[in-house]
Amino acid sequence: MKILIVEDTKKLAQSLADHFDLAGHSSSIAGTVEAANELVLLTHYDIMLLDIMLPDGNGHTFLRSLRLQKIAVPVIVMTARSEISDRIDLLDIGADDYIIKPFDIAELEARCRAVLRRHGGGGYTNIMLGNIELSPLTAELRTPAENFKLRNRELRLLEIFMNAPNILFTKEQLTDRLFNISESVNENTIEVYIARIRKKLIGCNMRIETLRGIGYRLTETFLPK
Amino acid sequence: MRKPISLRWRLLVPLIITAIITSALLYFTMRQVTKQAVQATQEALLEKAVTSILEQTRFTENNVEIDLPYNIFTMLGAISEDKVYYRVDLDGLFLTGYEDLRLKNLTVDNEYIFFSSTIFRGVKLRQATVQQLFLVNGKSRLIQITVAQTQLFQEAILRDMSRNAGVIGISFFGFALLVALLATRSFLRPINSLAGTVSRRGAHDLRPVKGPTPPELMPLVLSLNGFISRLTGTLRQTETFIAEAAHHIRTPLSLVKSESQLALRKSKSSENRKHLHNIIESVDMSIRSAGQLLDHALVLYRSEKIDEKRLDLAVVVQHVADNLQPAADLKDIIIKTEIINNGDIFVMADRVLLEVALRNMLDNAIKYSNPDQLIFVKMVLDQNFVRIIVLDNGRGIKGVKTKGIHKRFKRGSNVDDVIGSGLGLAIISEICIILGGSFILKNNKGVGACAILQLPVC
Repeated sequence: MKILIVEDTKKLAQSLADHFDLAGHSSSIAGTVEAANELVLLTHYDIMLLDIMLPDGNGHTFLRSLRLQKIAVPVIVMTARSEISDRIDLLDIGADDYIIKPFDIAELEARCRAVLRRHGGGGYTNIMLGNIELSPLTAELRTPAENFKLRNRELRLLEIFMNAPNILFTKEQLTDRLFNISESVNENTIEVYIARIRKKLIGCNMRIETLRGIGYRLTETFLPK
Repeated sequence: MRKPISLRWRLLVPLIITAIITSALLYFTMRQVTKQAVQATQEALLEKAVTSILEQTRFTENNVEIDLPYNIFTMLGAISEDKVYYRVDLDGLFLTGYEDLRLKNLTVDNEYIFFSSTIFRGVKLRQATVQQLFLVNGKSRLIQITVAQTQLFQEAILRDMSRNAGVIGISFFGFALLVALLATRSFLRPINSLAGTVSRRGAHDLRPVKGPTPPELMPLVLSLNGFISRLTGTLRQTETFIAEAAHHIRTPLSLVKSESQLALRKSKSSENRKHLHNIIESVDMSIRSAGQLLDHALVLYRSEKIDEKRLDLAVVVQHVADNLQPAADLKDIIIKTEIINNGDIFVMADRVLLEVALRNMLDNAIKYSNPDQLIFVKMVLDQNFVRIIVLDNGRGIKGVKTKGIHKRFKRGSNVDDVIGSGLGLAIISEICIILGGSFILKNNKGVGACAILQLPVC
């Protein structure tokens, strides 16, 4: 997925870009309306994350001009304002969704997926490993035996493994990625989700391996012929 | 502190006192005039009597002949039950009549009629006395004639007149009181009209007060308009402040959270991860508090500048539910909306405030729900009200003291382990008051909590 982050706070923009890069996406940063406009005209983006208060203009005007130019890039507005009327205005002028700062990166990713799903999924590629295929956009897992619709946490967990096959993840790392810090999660909770995915991977040549006392990793197994 | 006297009483009291004094004066004047008129009539009759007797008095050589005109006495006696007395003296010696009738001492020069009042045999009399000198055989003789009459008729007339004057006085007082009340009402009408115009306005109506105003009230209207203008300016500043505060608080927090999450993701050391956990937890608490405080400030600001519109409730509820679904997805929670009574439900409300209330209700439901659960949002129409019910399968409020739970910074005793500011329920309750509705938080029949927001429909 190719993302344009329009945000004047450079450090925040870079931080968001790092998150997306780590998740295997490609991102560009624009700190002004002018820079954003140039990038949009030059390059195709799958989604745009747009801040409202920018040094050389505001997001409202920029978004309106994009829509007037028939540029239909999906836009998620990142607003610091609580004013719902602002957000309603943004939706009216062509924003696809909005998220109030500060946000959880997982929520931002979820919103990006939801918006892209509504737009037909352009730019979001499926992940294929062995004989399984994961569609993060539709939360579908295709195996030779069956197609499964995954719950959100199952999807995110499998996505972590499929984006980094053979890489070892500790329970703590997985818990941090899957759960909110404030949620009370015990050590066994992650095992519940691992078990659910393992059940779906029965008969596939990919499996989640447990390294006792260390963690888990997704590995390819060779099925008997 | 002494309670200030109302304008109504300030006006009414002097008018009532004036009416009482005027009525009393009217009563006494009428009584006095009547008394004087009756007395003048009696004196005229007595004068006629004494002059008639005097005219009928003749002197011969050594005698004096007095012809008492009985028609005069008959006339005097005919009036009511009054009695008539007379006395004639010659050269200071009693001649005829009632000797015990007291004689007024007159000088010789007094040749006119003299009236006086006296007590005769225990009865009050009014008497007329006349004297005249006659020259008989070269010798002057002084004759003195007195006629007196009781005053029963006069007293009867006075009693009747007093009664009538009393009735007239009381009637006048009643009329004056009515006029005073009407005058007070008329005087206060422009003030009441002005108060009505201002009080009928919606809280958001901050236009200057216009319309015909008496010149005396213009300073008040000008001051009021000045105040409205200052209030509008303050509200505008508040709005700007809230927006800027939100930007300046939320953006750095976003960075802290994002960077902490990145660091956590990259960190391999369990010690560092522990520290980062603490940082993210604190940031989440700050985010929560900042968000709720800004929401609360927004509610306070909007309550002064409420923008009521006819809203399709299902659309608003669905919009909020859709917007929160990605957040709920993170816990594999599904939000299901349902309208129990088919058909459109419209409410007259400020959309911003309504959405803040709904968002807080749903946010609480997501926050306290266990993963993989359903949250139901139902809309039930009940006559003139609609109930928006949010049902979750979380920990509920069983065994929790709910007294004061709607107050600011108060939280239930069973939620210490969940990040929160204690403002969510206070915000919902305050919005309810502004929108003319009510809010109830109770336990579900099974597990979880049931939050009910009731609003009037239009």
